[in-house]
Formats: sequence, structure tokens, C-alpha cells
Amino acid sequence: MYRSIFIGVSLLGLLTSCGSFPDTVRAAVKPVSARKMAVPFSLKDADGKPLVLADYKGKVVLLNFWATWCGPCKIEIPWFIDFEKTYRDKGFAVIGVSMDDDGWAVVKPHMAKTGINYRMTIGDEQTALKYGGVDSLPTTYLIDREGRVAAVHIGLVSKGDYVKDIEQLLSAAK
Amino acid sequence: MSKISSNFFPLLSRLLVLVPALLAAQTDLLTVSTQPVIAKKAEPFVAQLNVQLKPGLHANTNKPNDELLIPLKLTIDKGGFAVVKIDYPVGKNEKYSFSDEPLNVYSGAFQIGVTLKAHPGTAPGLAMAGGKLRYQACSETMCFPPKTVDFRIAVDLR
Repeated sequence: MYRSIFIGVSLLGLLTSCGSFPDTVRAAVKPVSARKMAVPFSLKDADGKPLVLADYKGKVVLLNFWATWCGPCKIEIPWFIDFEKTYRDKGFAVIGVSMDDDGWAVVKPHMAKTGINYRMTIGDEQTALKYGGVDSLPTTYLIDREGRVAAVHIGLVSKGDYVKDIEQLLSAAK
Repeated sequence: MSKISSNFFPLLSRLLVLVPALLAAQTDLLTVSTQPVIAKKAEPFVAQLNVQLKPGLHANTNKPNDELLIPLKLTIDKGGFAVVKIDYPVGKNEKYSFSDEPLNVYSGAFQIGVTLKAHPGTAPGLAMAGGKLRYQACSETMCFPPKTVDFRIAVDLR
């Protein structure tokens, strides 16, 4: 009896003490058996063409949720430009999903300014909900060639971490 | 033993009811509190908003240094009061790893003064001025989507 009371009170203490905002989370690449299929979506890219996640099957995809008002997101953009150049021919693609309420009006000038060379789309609430709500930015999903989520990075992580994960996924058997 | 459990379980059940409220309060990135104000009907009066950001976070000020950043903004939209003036505090210019230039931000606790005046039709007595504070907060490594906090200011209008 006392033990269950103690456990109950301890649990209460734990619950009420864990209210701080999430810190950066770098989730390592999951083993294949633990990966789940990435939720499909279809949106329009900057040229008005359909951007359909399912069309990327066979490629490793870095799916980055970001916004122009997000400072840490801007650090990653030059890395992603670099990854797109370096790994494109090996079956890799970056997809940016901007969560800006003002949409293309702010995103297109930013794309031009930063020289973004990968496909971009404007995310909506529905798309965000499919990916767990995207409560903080940047949030980046690494999707394997079979369309499964292999890793999720929440917040700014190092370029080296991305390189390691991308190369691991690219080296996996096709 | 039965006495202990008969006293303890009602207490525990009350605590468990409180947990969602406690968690909700603790997961808010920013909280706003106000003090009641006594005011004369035809005269402007000042109300203070006490704002508290979670440790480790900063929010853009009302006039951030970058046009892409989302400014903190206070509005009053309920209760029969007009805004005469809003005094946003001066922020701090802070340099972050993700910005070339220092950003003008708030962190920790700060106060916003809002000068209000009752509309001619607002009845004397206890009134509630209702408003919203919109903000966008970040840490060193991540940003949170813009959020809006509702607040109320109790006004004893004489």
C-alpha cells in the first residue's frame, strides 16, 4: 500500500517538474525494423508544380520544416544547399517545407537571397499535423529509399550529424 | 491503515485533477499576469502587464531588428476600453549564433504598460478589459511558432 502511494506521489512530482520547453533532439538513425512509413503529402512547389512525397521513392530525402522568422533554421540552409549539390547524383534530395503564414510572399525572396537550390513548398496545418504537429523549428526528417522515416532532428543539430546520417542511408542497399 | 488511505486517496485524486492544469501552466512558453486597477471613468489610466518568459527563451520585441522577425504585439479587444498608448519596454540587443547582427529581444520577466480609457458607454463598476499578447519565442537552437496569450485586467471604474 505504502509503496503504491510512494510511486503515485513520485510520479506526480516527475510530471509536474518536466514542464520545460524541449531541448534539441538528435535522434540517431533507427534500425530498419523500427522505421515507419513517412506520411504522404502533395503540395505545390515554388513553380506551382505538384510536390508529391511518394514520387521520391528510391531516394533518400531530407524533409526540413522551417520558417523565415526562425534564426536557427537559417544556419542549416547553406548546409542543405551543399548536401543537394554533393549527394544529388547519389539518389538524395532535400525538400524544404516553409511554415510561414505569409507564404511565398516572404519565402521566394528568401530563396533568391540565400540561393536555395532544392525544392520548396509551403506547409499547412494539415501537413504539420501529419508530422506530429511540428511544435518547434527546425524539425527535420530523414527518409530512407523505401519512404520510411529513419531519423528525426528537432532543433539545430550539427552539420556533421547530418552528413553521418545521410551517408549511412545512402550506403544502405538499394 | 484504512484511516491513512481514506485520508490520502481523496487528496491524491484532487492532486491528479490538478496535474493537467499544472502541466499546462508549466508548458506555456510565456505567461501574463495583471493587477486590478482603479480608474475614473473619463480619464486615461495605466495598467501593467507582468510578462514572464521561460528560462532559456527570448522573444522578439515590438520592434525587432529584422523585418522577417515577428514582433511582440499587445491588443485590447474586450470590455469597453480604448487603447491610448502602449509602452513596450526597451529590449536587449543580443547576439546569437544564428544571427549576423544583434537581435532586439526580451528574456526573463518584463512589464508592458498600457494606457486605457473607458468608452463613453462603459458602465461604472467592475469591468474587465480583455486583450491578447502575440509573441514569437526562440531558444539558441530552436524557434516556436507565433502564439497568442489572452489576458484580462480587472478595472474598478468609478
